Amino acid sequence: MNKTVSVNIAGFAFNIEEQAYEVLRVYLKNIRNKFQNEEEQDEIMEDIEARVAELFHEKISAIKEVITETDVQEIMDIMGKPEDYLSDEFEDSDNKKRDRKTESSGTYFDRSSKRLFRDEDNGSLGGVCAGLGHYFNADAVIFRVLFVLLVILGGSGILAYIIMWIVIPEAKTTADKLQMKGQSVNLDSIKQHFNDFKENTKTEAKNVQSSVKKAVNRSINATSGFVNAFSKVLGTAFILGGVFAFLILMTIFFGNSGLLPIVGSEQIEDLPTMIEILYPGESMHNLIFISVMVVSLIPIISIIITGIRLLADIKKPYKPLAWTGVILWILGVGVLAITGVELGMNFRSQTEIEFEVPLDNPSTEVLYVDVNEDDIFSDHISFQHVWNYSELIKVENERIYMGYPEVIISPKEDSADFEVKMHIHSNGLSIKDAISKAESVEYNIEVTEDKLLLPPYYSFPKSSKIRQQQTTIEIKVPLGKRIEFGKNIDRIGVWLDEEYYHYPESHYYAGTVWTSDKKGLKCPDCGLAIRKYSNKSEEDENEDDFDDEDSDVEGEDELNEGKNEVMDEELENLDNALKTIGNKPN
Amino acid sequence: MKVENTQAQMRKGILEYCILTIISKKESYPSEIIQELKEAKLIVVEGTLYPLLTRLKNAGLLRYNWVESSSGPPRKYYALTEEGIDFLNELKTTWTDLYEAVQVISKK
Repeated sequence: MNKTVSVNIAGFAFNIEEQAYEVLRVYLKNIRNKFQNEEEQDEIMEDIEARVAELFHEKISAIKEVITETDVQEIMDIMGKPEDYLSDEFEDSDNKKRDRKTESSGTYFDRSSKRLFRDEDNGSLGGVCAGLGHYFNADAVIFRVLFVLLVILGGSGILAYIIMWIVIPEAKTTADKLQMKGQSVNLDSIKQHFNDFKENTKTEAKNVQSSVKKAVNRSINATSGFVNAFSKVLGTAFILGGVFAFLILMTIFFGNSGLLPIVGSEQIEDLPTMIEILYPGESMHNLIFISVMVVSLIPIISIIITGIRLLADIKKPYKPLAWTGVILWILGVGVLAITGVELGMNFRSQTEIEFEVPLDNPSTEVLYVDVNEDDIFSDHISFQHVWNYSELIKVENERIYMGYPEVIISPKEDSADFEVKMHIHSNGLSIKDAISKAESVEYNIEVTEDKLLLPPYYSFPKSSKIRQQQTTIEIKVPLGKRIEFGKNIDRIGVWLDEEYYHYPESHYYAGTVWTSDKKGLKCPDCGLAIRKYSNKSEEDENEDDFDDEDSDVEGEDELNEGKNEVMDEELENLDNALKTIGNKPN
Repeated sequence: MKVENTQAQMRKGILEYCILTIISKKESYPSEIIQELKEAKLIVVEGTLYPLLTRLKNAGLLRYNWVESSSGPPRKYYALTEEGIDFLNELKTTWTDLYEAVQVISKK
């Protein structure tokens, strides 16, 4: 059973099978194209159509009402191939063949006659890359790789792709498709194209065709070897890269699963927990989790699938799957964007509350400062380990523990008493919200006589969520008095003398004693760091070494010392600066 | 130099000559002309003829009348114009001369 259409040829109506109609339509179009620039075009076509109508008339009878494809085929045999319809000159078929060959090879790789179209027939998704491939005479895979890379490196590829998808027209007609491939739109190229797609049009000039095809095949064969090898290498790389990225993501999402020891930094809580303690409310958490998974995994899965397709040399487009992926991905991004804005609102206001920690004996000569044993994070970190904020977050007993309090030590000039203050910072939806979150932070400093024991973590209820809470202890040391650090002090962040801290061999404050001075705190026994600072006189050293404002110091030095020495010192400073830069912790 | 080229070039002029000759005998419509040409093995497909007829008509050598047909659309019956008759006569002379020239040369 075939569908029929009704056509009017030379004023006569015929019922013709749809397939047959398509063949006839293209045939007549090819002939018409042959006479494109001639005045007689319309007249010739009328004559030809009249003859076709006559022939059709002979084909139908009382028992056969419909024109079939076979009929059309026979009529095309009678009427002849499009090439037989002579145009300007009555040329012999051989001349034509030669002309055609030069014409084809002349335009086939000529970009000037090309137009950029999307090639949905050969594309994986919209055909943008396939179209670009035609335009630049390159394999579409190259553009696909570029887009995937752009997607991975910041996601700009997605936007670019969508824009190109919208802007670049799809090659719909045969003429479009030929222009896309750079073939000039003439009878031969259309016919060749037509032949490729409709093999049943056997009337096509096979001899003429073969020479053109041979030329094309030769160029294809020459490049296909290279392309094949390249695509295999690329396919393998895609699969390996995709699997690797997948494992890394899983490690990041689901904590230290031991999947990949080389990944390094380990996060204690898994993705669902992180979402729970970060995003407001509760209803959206599952959706956010799914979105994060979808948005991050779809590109990786695409890469792996692309790799498999390259390796297995699968050319068949997988449009439904690709579409599903893109739509899911966009939905996921949408969910994350919307919830992200909401999340951002919850960080809008920030506040810092401050209160004094009373000391038993503020006028002591030496204040001893140490950090408690870490019962929360000790399983996860060691001193050799450089940790960061995101790692030191842990949920236990409905409380969120953050393992990175800080202590700031500075000199105090106006009093002989030690002063300890606690600052708690928090963000929130409003100032009021931020204050209540800051107040909910628990950080219990143990004070015994001249000893200060700081906990290595602070905590707050799970319902507070993570809102950039930060606890900072500020210790002010009166001039001439000392502060001594215990063995665990380096568990938390100490802000005392950055230059000392960053100095390669003096990474730790544990066990050091610092004396308060007008210009900061100094540690005469800290050895290495001090000795290496410079060959300056001791007085200069006392004045300079722990001062942040180098420029002032240098100003004084220039007055006091000879020019050569200044030069030496500059070099020394530069050297130190370089070392400092090179050794900054994360 | 391919033999087909030369053959086609020879056939090129002769085809016009033959078409005009067929039409000069009696007014004909394309299918009839094709029939004769096919028998003479000058052309094999009909498509070749239509542009040629149109061109000869546009050159003023042919005219046509519409004649109703029982089996389809009306047919164009072609006839020679005065100009066409002169043209054909000249071709005839040329052809005779050429034929004789060939005879003379090949018999030597």
